[in-house]
Amino acid sequence: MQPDTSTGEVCSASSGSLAGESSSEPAKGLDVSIDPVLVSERVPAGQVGALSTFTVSGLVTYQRYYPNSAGVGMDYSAAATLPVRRAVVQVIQAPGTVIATGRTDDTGNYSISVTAPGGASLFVRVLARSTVTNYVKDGAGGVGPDENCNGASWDIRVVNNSTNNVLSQTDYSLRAQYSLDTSTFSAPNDSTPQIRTATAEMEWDSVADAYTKRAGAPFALLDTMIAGLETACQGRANISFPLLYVNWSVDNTTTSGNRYQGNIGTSFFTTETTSRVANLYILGRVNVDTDELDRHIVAHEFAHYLENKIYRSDSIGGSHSVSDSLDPRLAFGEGFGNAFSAFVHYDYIADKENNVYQDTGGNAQANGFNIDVSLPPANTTPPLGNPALIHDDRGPWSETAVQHFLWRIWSNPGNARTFARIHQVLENDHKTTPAMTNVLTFASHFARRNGLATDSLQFSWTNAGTFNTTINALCDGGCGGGSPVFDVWDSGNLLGLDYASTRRYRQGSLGAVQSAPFWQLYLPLSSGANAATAHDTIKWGGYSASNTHLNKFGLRRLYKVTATSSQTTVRVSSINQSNQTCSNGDLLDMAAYRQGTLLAVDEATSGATANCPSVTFCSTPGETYVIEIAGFGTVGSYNLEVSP
Amino acid sequence: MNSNGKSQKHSASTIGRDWKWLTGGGVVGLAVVIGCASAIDFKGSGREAGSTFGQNERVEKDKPFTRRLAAEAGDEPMHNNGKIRMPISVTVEGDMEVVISRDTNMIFSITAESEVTRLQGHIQGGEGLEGFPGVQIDIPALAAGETHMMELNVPAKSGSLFFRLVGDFAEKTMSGAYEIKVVNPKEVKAASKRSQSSDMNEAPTKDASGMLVQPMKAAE
Repeated sequence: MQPDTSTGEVCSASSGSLAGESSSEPAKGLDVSIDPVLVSERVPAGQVGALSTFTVSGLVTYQRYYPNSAGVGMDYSAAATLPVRRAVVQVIQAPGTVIATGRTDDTGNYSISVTAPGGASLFVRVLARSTVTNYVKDGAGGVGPDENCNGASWDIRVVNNSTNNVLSQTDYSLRAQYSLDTSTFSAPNDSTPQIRTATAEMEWDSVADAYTKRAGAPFALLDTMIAGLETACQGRANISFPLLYVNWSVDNTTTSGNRYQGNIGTSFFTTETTSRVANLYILGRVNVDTDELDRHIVAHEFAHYLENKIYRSDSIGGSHSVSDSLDPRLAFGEGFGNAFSAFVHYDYIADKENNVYQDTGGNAQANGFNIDVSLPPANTTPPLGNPALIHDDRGPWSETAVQHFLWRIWSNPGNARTFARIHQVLENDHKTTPAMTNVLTFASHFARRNGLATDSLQFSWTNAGTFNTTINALCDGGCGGGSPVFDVWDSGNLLGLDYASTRRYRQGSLGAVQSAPFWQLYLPLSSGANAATAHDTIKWGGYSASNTHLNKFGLRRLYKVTATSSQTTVRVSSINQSNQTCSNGDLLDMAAYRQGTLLAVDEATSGATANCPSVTFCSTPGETYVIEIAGFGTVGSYNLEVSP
Repeated sequence: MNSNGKSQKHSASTIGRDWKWLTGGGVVGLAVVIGCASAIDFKGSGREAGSTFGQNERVEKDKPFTRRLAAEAGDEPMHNNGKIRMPISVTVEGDMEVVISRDTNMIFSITAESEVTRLQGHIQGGEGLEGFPGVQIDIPALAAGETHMMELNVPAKSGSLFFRLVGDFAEKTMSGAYEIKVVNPKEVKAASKRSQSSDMNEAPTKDASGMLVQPMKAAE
């Protein structure tokens, strides 16, 4: 049958990334100037004297609270004061003419040479924005893993998305840039230096359950962004980070609806408009859910920005939680985000890890929960049956297992807690792998680059409570011997063979034993008919069939096919499920990918083969492609056919 | 179960509005009113987990591979559905905002996205609905996909109902807060709320170059 979308046209150009993007229109208002107006172009304002040149300098800090040591709720007993790092500083001649621009260093200090008419009314404005081209280390030290981003460029803007203006969805100039303004002062008539310090305060009133000062919030967000950049730069110093908007407002609440009115639903990353502008949205609704100080959450969402703009993510999205049995692509993205949040907040100066992801919320932000990424999954055993067969908490489909695995590689003392080797895999191998981005792909490439023993990879894979399976799954023909062939596909299905004898699939209270092909991440397809195996089935696990659960393990089945021609067709030739035929029912859809990019889809919901989807795509002989079948209800089995 | 209401529990093997009447002791009950907030609780399962799922019915009509490629501006999908949350959703008659012009009995749904062995918390009014009496929630268990429904009398005032819940899941106790907005068109509030923080109350302004800024006062 013919695919029902244009993306499936035979040998048309590939289209469609699975990352979110809008079909609406390009973004506007991205080029917001922060540059000063030249002296010669300024319009004199008020009574002013002759021009003089002098220095304006000072220290810029922000205040913040931290989640409490118990890991549940915010600790409002005392605010910490920290430097505002790498923020844009403007000297403004009232009412609003920018006459000089600079940047804070990593200690929060700035020094700007200003030329202004004596007596002019000036003030200092610090933007919750960091815009840097070809960053040069300032040597000023600081509070975090500083000074990695030598030669890097970025543009991060913390803005107010609660505009009550629908046009701000595409016109970014309508989202107000948070700024911290000092009081005004008079320009000197000579070169007398001017010192202006500024603090963005935070103050919580525990009687009224309200913030009385909250200017620190946008700068807390900016600081986490800077820490995130620095962590990524451990892998490559001169990364060019694409523009990132951080949308925060005191109105941002858990209600889903119009984001420009604060109804953002939750904190998240997305890309917007056909320009695919990167955006974080962060909750700010007091006594409901605020995340600007939940720094691990912010770093986690920043990790998704990296995945989308610097690395690659094949995640299929959807709701997820810590004990879920997820599609391995989603599990990797979430596990990476959680682990990254710990990497970002490692205190290099005190050599102190901050491994607990904390989410505060509720009245007075006193509730919440935490996730300690330094702990493995809980190893849930079924209440009855053979306790030796555990549920599937430990596997590539567990975000908890993935986060702990990545954390172990990072935390291993031999790695000196650097993100560098992880970054190398994500920025290079993950971007070009023909397989999907999941932990098997990652681990295989990590081992190929660094060796199986590096950063205790082998131990973390086999014995650390993450996957507890054979290391041979990472190598074609096993990892023993002198020259292992690392294999992102686990072609021998060693993982599946292992799990068939040690695991129960999350299905009902007891779980269910499944055979090796069911556990296989990618079933190889060959030309001609491929008779149904235990892999060719759709199972729901312990989940209900609602539209939030189409991302759980067992609902999406992956295959690999190596092309033998310039055009390849894969189809479901028959379906074995009660009352179902190719023309009666609609339980299956199909897609084809090259390096994670969608090539062709069949999502038909009606027609003679709605239940037996097919895809035809341009192919290069010898190249391997991924085929995915998505299920919408329990399917006992189905047969596949590849041609030629 | 809600202390001031009656509940209905739905058989896991059937679908629809075939509710059984139950209270904590499994006894048929009627709504009990505490304060002026009446509540009726019942539990329903849309489609049940695993083997009890209706096998021959497609459950999601949108497109699994391309749905995210066609998002409208302002509705672009959240990457991975946003941050890790307690796997519970709260809606009122399918939405998170209601518009009413008179006091109205409405159905609120608490749906478990993963199995929860106990879910407790309360509902509180605010932002204009302070007069809404608190409602306690104590649900013994919900299977994945199961919905606990409550009928509440909502006063015709613009404001918010805050659901603050704590649940026990397979590996973790988690909490979540949910805001359901109530709008009475006759009682229009200021479109944009002002912060209680004294340093953030200035209106956005443009500088001379045209950049829109949200000024905040610095402590010096």
